[in-house]
Amino acid sequence: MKVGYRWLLDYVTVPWGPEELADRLTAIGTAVDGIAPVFERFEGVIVARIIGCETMPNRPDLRILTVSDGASQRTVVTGAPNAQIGLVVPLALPGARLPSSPDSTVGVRAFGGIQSEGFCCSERDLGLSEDHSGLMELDSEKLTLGRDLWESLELDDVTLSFELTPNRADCLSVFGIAREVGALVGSRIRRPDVHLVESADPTDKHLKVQIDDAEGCPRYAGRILRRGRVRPSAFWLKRRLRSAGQRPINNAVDITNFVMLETGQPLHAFDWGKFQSGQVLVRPSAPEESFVTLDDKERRLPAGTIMITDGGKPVAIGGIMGGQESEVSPETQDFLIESAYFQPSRIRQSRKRLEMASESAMRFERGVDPNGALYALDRAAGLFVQLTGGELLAGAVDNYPAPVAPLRIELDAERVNRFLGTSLSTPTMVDLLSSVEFGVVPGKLAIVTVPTFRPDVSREPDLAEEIARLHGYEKIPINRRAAGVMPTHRLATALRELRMRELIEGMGFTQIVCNSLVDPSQRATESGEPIMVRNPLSTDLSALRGDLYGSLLTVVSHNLNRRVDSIAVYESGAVYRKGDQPSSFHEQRQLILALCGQAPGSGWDQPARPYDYFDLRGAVTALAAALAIPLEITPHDGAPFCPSEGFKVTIRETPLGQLGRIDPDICRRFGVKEKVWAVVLDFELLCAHSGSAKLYVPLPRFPALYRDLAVVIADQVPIGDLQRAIRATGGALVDTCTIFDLYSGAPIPSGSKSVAFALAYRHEDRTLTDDEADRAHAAIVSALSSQFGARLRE
Amino acid sequence: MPNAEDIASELRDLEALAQREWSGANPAERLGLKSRYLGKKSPLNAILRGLKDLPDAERRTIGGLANETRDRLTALFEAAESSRASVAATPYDYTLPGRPHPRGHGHILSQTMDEVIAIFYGMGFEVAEGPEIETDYYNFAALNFPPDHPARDMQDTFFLNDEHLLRTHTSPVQIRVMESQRPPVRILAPGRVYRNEAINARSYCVFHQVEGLYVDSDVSFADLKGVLVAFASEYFGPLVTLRFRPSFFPFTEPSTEVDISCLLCRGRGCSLCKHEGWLEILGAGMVHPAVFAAVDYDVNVFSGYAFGMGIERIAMLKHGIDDIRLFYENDLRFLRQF
Ligand SMILES: [Zn+2]
Repeated sequence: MKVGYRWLLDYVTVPWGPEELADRLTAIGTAVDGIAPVFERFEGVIVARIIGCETMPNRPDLRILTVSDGASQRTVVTGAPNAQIGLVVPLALPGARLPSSPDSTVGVRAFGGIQSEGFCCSERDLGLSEDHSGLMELDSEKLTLGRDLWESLELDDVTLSFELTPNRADCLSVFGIAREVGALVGSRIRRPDVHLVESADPTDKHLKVQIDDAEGCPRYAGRILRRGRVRPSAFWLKRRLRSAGQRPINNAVDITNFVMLETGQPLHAFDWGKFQSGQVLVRPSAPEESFVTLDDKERRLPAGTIMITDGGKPVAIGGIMGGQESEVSPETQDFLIESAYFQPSRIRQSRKRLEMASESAMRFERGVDPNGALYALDRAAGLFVQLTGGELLAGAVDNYPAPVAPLRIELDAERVNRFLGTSLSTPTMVDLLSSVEFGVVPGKLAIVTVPTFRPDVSREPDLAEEIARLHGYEKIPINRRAAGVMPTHRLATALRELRMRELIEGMGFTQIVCNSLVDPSQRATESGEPIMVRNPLSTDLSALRGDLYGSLLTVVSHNLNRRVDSIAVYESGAVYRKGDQPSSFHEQRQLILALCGQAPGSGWDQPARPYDYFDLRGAVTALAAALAIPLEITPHDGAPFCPSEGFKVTIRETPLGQLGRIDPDICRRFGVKEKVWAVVLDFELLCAHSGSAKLYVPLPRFPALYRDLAVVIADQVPIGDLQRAIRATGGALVDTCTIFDLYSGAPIPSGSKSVAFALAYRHEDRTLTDDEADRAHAAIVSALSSQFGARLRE
Repeated sequence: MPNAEDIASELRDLEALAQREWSGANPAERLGLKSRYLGKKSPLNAILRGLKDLPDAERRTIGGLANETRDRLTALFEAAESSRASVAATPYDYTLPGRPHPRGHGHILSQTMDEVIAIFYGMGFEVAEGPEIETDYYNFAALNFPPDHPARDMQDTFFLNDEHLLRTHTSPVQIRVMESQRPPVRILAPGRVYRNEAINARSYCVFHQVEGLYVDSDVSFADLKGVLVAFASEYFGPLVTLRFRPSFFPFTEPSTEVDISCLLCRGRGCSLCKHEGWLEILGAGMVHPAVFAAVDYDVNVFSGYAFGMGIERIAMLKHGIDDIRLFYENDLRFLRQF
C-alpha cells in the first residue's frame, strides 16, 4: 500500500514530517518500509497567463504566444494545440531545469526568426504525468501569476510505502492510514462530506439488482450517471493517484481508483450502454463458462466464481476484474458505478484458480467494510458529476438483505493487564480503543463495539493487541522474573547427537549440512521411489533425498573442484522414504562419515598418502569405543559400494549401516574421480545402543608379562581370525593383543605374510609367573599352527 | 659369560668415548649421541639388561658401576643441553610448521543452534522435535491459518500431496507437544523448515528455525519481552538493545517482530542495517486463543507466548556472513573458518 504524505493531510493534521511520521507509524504496527519523492524536482518554472496568441507565418503548426507573469511579458513559441488567450500555464524560463531533460537547461531558441524566451510546458514536460496532448492548464483562481510552480502546486510530496500484514485490511486505504495517524495525534479523521446533485429521475426506475449468490455477494449497490464525458482527469486527481503509485488513465477510471484508495472500497465503473436490460444479476459462474477480462484475455472460469451479468451475458468477474466488453471507453456516456461487498474466501479461491491479481481482489480477500459501500458509492458519484459533467440519477440501488452488525466484545481490563503484564487504567484502555474508532461502554466488563472495517478483531486478545500497540510495545515492562520451576530434560537424542558430533569432529571430520531437496534424476542409490514435491522450485530440487550419498558426493565434488585435497566430512541428517500406506512417509536420521583425497599428516617429514579403508575403519572403531558399543564389520555386497569393497556394520547382529568405497561409476555421475570412502549408520539405532552408562573396570593390581609373537601365514588368512584364536586360546590371561608388524616379501615366501603380535599376559588376582605366561604363549603358538598353518618366524 | 672386569673396563671406555665425541659434536649430532649412548639399543643398556645373568656379588658391583656411568652420561648430556653457553643454535628448525593434528569443525549452523539451545535451556526450555513432512492440519489449520486465508500467502509452501507438505516453520511442534501434555509447557523446537522461495543471497528453500513456547497460568507479554531480552544479550552481547514492533502472525495475538540494534553501527545506520539502525531477528507473540482451542487448553486459565527465529539469519548477523547459500554449499574453506 502506497500513500502520498500530502493526501493524508487532507483528512488529518500531522505535526510531523514524513520521516518522523513513518517511524511513529512503524512503532504502532503500521510499518513503513520506504519513503520516495512523488515527482522529480524541477526548477525555474513559473505560473503565467497567455495574453496573446498568433499563428506563426508559414508554420501553421506553431503559435507565437505572449505570456505574462503578472509584471512583465515574454514571447514564446509553442506547438501545443490548446494554446489560447486567457489560459494559465506553466512557463519554463531560460535557465530552468526540467525532469524531461535533466542534463540541460532551457535556453532561448529561435523559431523562424522569432526568439522564444523559454517555453510553455505540458504535464509530461514537467514529469507530472504522461499527458503530452497540450499545455498543462492551471487553475487560474488558486494560483498567482509569476509564482514558482513547484511551490505553488506543493509538488514536494512523498510517497510512503507500507508493508502491511494480511490482517490489517483496514489500512489498505488512505482513510485507514489516516486513522492510525489520528490515533497517534489524538484526533478523529475528517471524511469529506458528500453533497450530491441528483436529477429527479430515480435510479431504481432504470436499475434492478438481483443477487442469486447471496453467500458470495452479500451486498451490491449501484448508481447511474448519464451523459458524462470521458476525458483526462483534473491535475489534483492525477497527483493524488501518482502519490499512491497509480497511473492516471481517464476521469472515470481514475475516480474509481481514487475512491478505492481513499476509502478501501473497490469500485467498478461500467459502460451502462453495453447492458442489454436495466438489470444487474449476480450469480455463480456456470460450468465451462469463459469470459474476456479487460486485460484482453479469455479466461475459463472456475466453479464458484462470482459473476456480474446484465441478466444475460457476464460483464465482470465480481470483485476481481471487469470485462472487456463493458469497459468504459472514450465514447462512454452513461455509467453504472458498482460498489459491492464480496465474500473474502470466495474471492481468494477464484483469484488463485484464475491466477490473477488485482487491487480490488487483494482488498476483498482481506476483508472490506461491508457497511462502507454506500459512502464510497456516493463519494464516487459526486466526483463523477464534478469531473464528467454528467447527470446523476436520484438515489442508490442497494441490495443488502442481511446487514452486518458490528461485533460487541467484553473487555476485562484486569485480565488484559495480566495478559500484557501492564497496569493500564480502564479509562486509558477506553481512550486507546476509541482513538481507532472502537465504541466503548465502560463498566466492570467494558463492552467494546468493533467497527466493521476491522474484521481482524473478534476476541479480547485482539483488543489487547490494539491496546498494546497503541500504548506502545516499548512501554510494556520487561519481566525478568523466572516463572515457575520446571525440570528441564534434554532430548536424549539431542544430547547424544551433540556428544557424537564432538567425537567425530575430534577425529578430524568437518560437519556438512546439505539441502534435503535433490534432483530425482541424480540418485546415488535406488533407495525406493523418491518423494516428489508437487510444486518444486525447479526439477533439480524436486525430490526429498532417500539417502545421504548424493548430497555427500555433491559436496566432495564441489570441494575437489576447488582444490581442497583432503576431505573428511560427516553429516547427521534425515533421509525420507515412502511408507507402506499410500500417503505415509518416514524420516530417518542417518549419520554419514566420508573420506576422500589426501590423508592428513603429510608435510615436510611425512610423505603424502591417500585416505584408505583403514582411516575410515579407525574412525568407526574409535566412535564405537567412545560410545561403548561393539561393532562388527563384515563383507557385504551392496549399493553404492564397490562389490569387493563393501561391508556391513552390525551391532549384536542387528544391521546398523554400511561401509566401504563408493562405486567409481556412481562417483563419476557426481563428477568425482577420486576414491571416496564412506560409512552410513542408522543414527537412532546408534543412539539406542549407546545410552547406557559406562561401568568402571578396576585397574590391574598385578603386573603383566610381555611376549612378542611373529608368525608366517598364508596371504588369504584374515588376521582378525588369528586375533580371535589368540584370545580364545589364551582366555582371560590375554590382556592385550596388538599387531605391531605386517610384512610380505623376501625372505617371506610368496603367497605368505608375516604378522607380529605384542601380547600382554596378566592374571587378575595374582602376579603371573614367567612359566605360566610361557605356557599360555606356547598354547597360542600351537593353536595358530594347527588352525591356520602358522609357522613361527625366527 | 663375560667377566666383571671386562665389563668394568668396557664401561670406562664407553664413558671416555662418549665424552670425547660429545665435546666435538654439533647440536644436531648431539641429539644422535644421546640416543646412541643412553637409548634402548645402546651398549650401556645391553650391560644393564645383562646384569640379571651375573652372580649376585658381581651384579651389585657392576650394577653400581653401570648405573653411575649412566647417571654421569645423563648429567653430561643434560648439563650441556641446559647450559645456554654451550648451545650455539636451536637443535632443530623451530620455524618449520608443527605436525598437523587434524581438527574437524562443527557446521556453523550446528554451532549456532547449539548456542541458542544452550541459552534457552538455561532458562528452563526443553527441546522437542517433530517431523519435517507435516500435514496441513499441524502446519496451518491448528495454528489458525484458515483455509483460503491470505495469511497462507505469508509462507510459500512445498506440497507433497493434498494433505502433506514440507513444514514451513517448526510451530507444528507446538501443537504436537500441547496435544500430548497439559500445562505448564516450556519447550524449544529446533529444526529444518522449507519455503518455496526463489534462491538468492538472502533466501534459500531450506533453513533452520528455533521456536519457543511457554504456556502456564498468567504468562504475560512482559514475560515474553523478558525472555527475549535475556536471550539477545546472551547471544549478541550486553550492549545490544531490542525493539518490539507490532506485527501479525496467525497463531499469536498480540504479535511482534523484534529487532536488535545494528551490531555494526550500534544504531547509527550502515549498509548492514540498510541505514535503519535495526536488524530484524525474530517474530513472537502471545499464543492465539484459536491455537489453545485446537489443543483443548482452557483459554480462561492458561496463557502463553511463542517466539521463532531463523538460525541462518542470526548466524549471518553474528558472523558477518553475507550469502545464505554458503551454508548449504559446504565448501570446506568456509566450514573450517568456524
Ligand atoms: Zn548498521
